[in-house]
Amino acid sequence: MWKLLQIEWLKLKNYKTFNRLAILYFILLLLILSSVKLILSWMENSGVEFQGISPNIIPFYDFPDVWQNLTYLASYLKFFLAFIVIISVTNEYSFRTIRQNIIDGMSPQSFLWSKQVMIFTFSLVNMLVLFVAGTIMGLIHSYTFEPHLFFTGIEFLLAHFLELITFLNLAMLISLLLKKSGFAIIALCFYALFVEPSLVAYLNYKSDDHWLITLFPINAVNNLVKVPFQRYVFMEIQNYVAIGSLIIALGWYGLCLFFNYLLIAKRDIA
Amino acid sequence: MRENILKISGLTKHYGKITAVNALDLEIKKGNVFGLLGPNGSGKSTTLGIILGVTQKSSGEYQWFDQQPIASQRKRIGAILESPTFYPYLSGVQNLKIVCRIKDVPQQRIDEVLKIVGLYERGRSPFKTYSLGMKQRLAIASALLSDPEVLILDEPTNGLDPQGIAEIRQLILEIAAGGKTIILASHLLDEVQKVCTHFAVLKNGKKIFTGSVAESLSGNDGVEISSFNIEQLEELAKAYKGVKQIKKNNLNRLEVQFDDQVNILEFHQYLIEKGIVLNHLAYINKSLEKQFLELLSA
Repeated sequence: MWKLLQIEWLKLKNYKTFNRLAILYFILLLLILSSVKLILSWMENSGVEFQGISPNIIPFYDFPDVWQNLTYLASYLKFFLAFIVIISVTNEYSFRTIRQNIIDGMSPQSFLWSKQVMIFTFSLVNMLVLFVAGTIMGLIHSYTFEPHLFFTGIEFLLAHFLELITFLNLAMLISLLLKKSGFAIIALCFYALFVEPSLVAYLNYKSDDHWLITLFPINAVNNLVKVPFQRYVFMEIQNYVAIGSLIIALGWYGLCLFFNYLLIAKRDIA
Repeated sequence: MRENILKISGLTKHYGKITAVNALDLEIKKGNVFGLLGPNGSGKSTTLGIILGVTQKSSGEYQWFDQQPIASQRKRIGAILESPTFYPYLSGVQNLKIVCRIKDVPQQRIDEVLKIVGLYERGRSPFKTYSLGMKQRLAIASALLSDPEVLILDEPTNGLDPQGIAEIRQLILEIAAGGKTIILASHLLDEVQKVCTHFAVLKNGKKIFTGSVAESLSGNDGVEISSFNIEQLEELAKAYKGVKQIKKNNLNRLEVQFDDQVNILEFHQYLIEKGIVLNHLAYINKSLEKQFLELLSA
């Protein structure tokens, strides 16, 4: 595993596109994570009120709210990570280096795992950044620090991790199918932002909360961390990770992994 | 009996209706420099792709080192197929570091192989700035990295200038002298003739010939003669019993082929008696090219 990670690191560390995307990603991530308080006070100064409540007293960064709030916000940035994965996988085909890697003695399984190790590392680093950011922001903004509040809702970090590895494997699947980074990026965005939402809207129109909707892959990963913000206007939210969503997301992860394996190991590598 | 390096039996590959490799049998022994010949599309590269694990076979078997194929065997093989493939944004050294990791080779080898192929000075430049010859040499360096028992080269001199071709040829001979097994796929017959000990000819995915280069080149292919009076020489030669074929070549000399029983001394005597003195007489060496073309047209 360690060797595979080293190989991936050698491939990526001197790649300008990767470095730029990664830096941009972390700047955006930190900006999103840290700026909410500023936005809320700006809203207060502009005279905005949420049902009579001043925005600035919303306990956005307080334990235990902070975990769901931050993971939900961070999940919007997963497309950036998906672009990195797509470029990393399609490059292997356009440079034909996957072929040379295998000729040099890598097994198709190792190749799959080297990309999995990369995906795991991205997701893990992301989770750690969220953990550190949540801890710091929570300590600064909470009125009191109580260990049980600190750990409440920390499972959202794990849910976020599963969300990322599943989504990134979906991106890898599209990359393996299309082999061209441009096509793969467009296909992923088109599917995630247009095709699936349209299908979901249609099913919703046919019958409310159609059972099929939860099975769609993008829905499945998004369902892991539900929108938390309505709680600040006294609406009920799902403030836990549903077991059903976990199972469906894990199912998609397994399915993507299986097809990724088939596409690498059972197809001619031209 | 020398040990088998590669054994292929009944190997077949279909692409839709096309059969690229058709029930191929091949055995390559340790220390052979084996030429795989055939026109474009005869199945050479497909065969190499299969035995190197990147192309799926339709049926048949192959064994490396008398064992069922697994990925780690390929660490003992150095191979370049078609054009050199590397990460263009990385330098030669950075690319070789990846290969070192894959093949479990210490990184000290990198400088050694770069020196062997004469690329040491440019090792730190990005791969995309290399000329074709340098790319090809980096590919050979990469193939040599694990000090492999077998070297597979597919058209290694493709696109190189004459000097580059000579250098690569010299390199192959040096590597072969070290007792390594080499499999060389090429349609440059002259190249195979100069470096190979054995060869096989493929046509439409089938093996139509296999044998040793030395045996195929033993004997000669007639003589090349000329004289000041070339017209008279031609007439006399035509009249001589046992002459099979006469052809005038680009040097304005006659290439004469005889039946087996003709003695060249008697032929020369005959010409002198008829008043013709030769100013050139040389045996024509057999060439792989000629045999190859005969095999293919058969």
